[in-house]
Amino acid sequence: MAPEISVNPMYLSEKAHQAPPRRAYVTFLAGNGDYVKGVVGLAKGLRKVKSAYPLVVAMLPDVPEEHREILRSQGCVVREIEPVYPPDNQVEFAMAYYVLNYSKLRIWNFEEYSKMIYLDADIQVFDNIDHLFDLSDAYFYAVMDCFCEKTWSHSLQYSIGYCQQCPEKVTWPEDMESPPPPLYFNAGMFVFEPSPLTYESLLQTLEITPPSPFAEQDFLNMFFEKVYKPIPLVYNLVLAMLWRHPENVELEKVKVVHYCAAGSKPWRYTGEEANMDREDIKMLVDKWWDVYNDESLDFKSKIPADAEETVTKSSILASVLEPEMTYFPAPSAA
Amino acid sequence: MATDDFFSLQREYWRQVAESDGFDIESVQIPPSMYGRINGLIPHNCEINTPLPYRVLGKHYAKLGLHRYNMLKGTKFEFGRLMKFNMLQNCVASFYITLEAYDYGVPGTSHPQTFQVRIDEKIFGSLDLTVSIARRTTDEVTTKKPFIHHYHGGAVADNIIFKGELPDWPSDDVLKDRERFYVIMNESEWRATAWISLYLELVLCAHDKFITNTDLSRLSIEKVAIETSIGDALLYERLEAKSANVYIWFKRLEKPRVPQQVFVTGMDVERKAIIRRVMDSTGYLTLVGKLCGGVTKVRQFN
Repeated sequence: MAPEISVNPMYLSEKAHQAPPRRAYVTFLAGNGDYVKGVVGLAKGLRKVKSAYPLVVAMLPDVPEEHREILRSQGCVVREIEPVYPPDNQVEFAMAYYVLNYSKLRIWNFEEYSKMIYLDADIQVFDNIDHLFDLSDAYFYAVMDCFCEKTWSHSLQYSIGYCQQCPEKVTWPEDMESPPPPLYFNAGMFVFEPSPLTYESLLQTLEITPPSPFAEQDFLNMFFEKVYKPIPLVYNLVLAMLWRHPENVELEKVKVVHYCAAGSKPWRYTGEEANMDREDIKMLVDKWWDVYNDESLDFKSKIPADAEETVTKSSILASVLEPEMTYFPAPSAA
Repeated sequence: MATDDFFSLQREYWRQVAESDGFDIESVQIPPSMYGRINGLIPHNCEINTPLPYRVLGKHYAKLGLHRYNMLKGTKFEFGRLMKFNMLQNCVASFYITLEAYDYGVPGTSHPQTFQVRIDEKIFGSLDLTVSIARRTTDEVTTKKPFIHHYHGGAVADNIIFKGELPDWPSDDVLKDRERFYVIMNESEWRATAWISLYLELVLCAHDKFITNTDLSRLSIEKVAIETSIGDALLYERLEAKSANVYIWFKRLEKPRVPQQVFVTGMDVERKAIIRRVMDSTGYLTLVGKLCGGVTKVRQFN
């Protein structure tokens, strides 16, 4: 058994007078489909790792009441948001449903929170990442993406075979007369600061920006290019890394897994799609189900289910204990 | 699409943009197959009267460019109208502005002259930018540099007091140091210097890009102090100094909006802003500013 955290009563009394920063995890949900399972899994995963912060679910109006009730029963804070649409355009998105994701820009308007960590609904957290809330303000933090999958076939870097995950393997050709593309993050997981001012800028800029194949991910990469700081891939393991860059992955150290590869969603998994019969994929899918099916991780509340915030012992402790700051050296893209 | 084709199209796009240093891109064509994949500069033709992405920022950036030109050339150009407004989509953006201006320093001149101004922002939500280009279209460009769509540098001061973080607001006793500060008490003196109100408005626009002209028109400057490294300088010497800290007391900003800061609300609340101007031998003008008196929204633990 882990030793119980000892709190000095005097320290607790003193610190209790300081208002803790309001922080939360946030995910996005649209439609009446099975992604609600992903959110349930995520909520339970955060509980399993004893996160001190609530999970806010930003959902579009088309999410049915039954799904909302399921999420409330799991201790989620449900927030309905209006859709956001990009300018009309003939650009084909890498995946047709990507257009829905522009709506997650609404989370920048959750100004009651000073800092949030966004996690896609097809993400699971297997280790506590609360310390990411203590990264320096005024930057946008996310994990670098991989350029090697076929969905990147529209890009110059894919054609060259260049990937920022291993820039030394296929170097950017010197005769290109242009520098390598700027660092590009996967927008399935990021650390950001909600702000109505940033929110307004995002929507205003979106109005004048042509859509591009990866939809809101491309847009966020452009918008935050100058303030983006990469964090290690253990905070967002894009599954393609397992077969594209296995040398970069230490699976036992991975804290956050992103089931974004085709056929990898645990609640739809059949093992039939490309690479889905790998043993490490099977293990990760099983791991997700272990959390999802664990009844001991179901939310148990003694306060009304529609309470705005979930108050737990760990969240009280979070207001008096400062997580240890970890240094994250930025990976070199050179 | 083949690698060579993709690369050629991308290179061709930026080559065309570079031909005019980013100012005249309306004829730069992107093939339909590449639309959305080359997201370079977003053009905006102000002459067809569509709203700017940021309501008041465009004019202020244009005026700042004229301010730099006037300081370098000793001219008295004043803003006429915006013609073009090209920008990057980044939250820390670069702006390529074409405008018309009138020279009130030359009697009898009535025809506007066309200027090009480039502004490179450095920080989101706060004033920190560099005017890297401010020229008439008729000026000869003698130092052509490779085109880089976002400039990351800035002017460098030659005195330590104008480097690093902006200073804290000085106490009343410190402000009495006449060697260091010139406090402008006479309203007509600071009103005669248009860039003082411009600097203040730029601070507010940088914090809140959606501030309105109505908000700005209400502002009432109460007092101005200028800090320079020139001891015992006359007012005009301080106003024209290449490096200066400008301290502005003002009222009638009811609800300041600054990222992650909270301010007391009210039209009659006295507010303060600090703006630093630095110009160096490159001719670049860097402006850094902040609104003082806010409290961080969330208290951080030690």
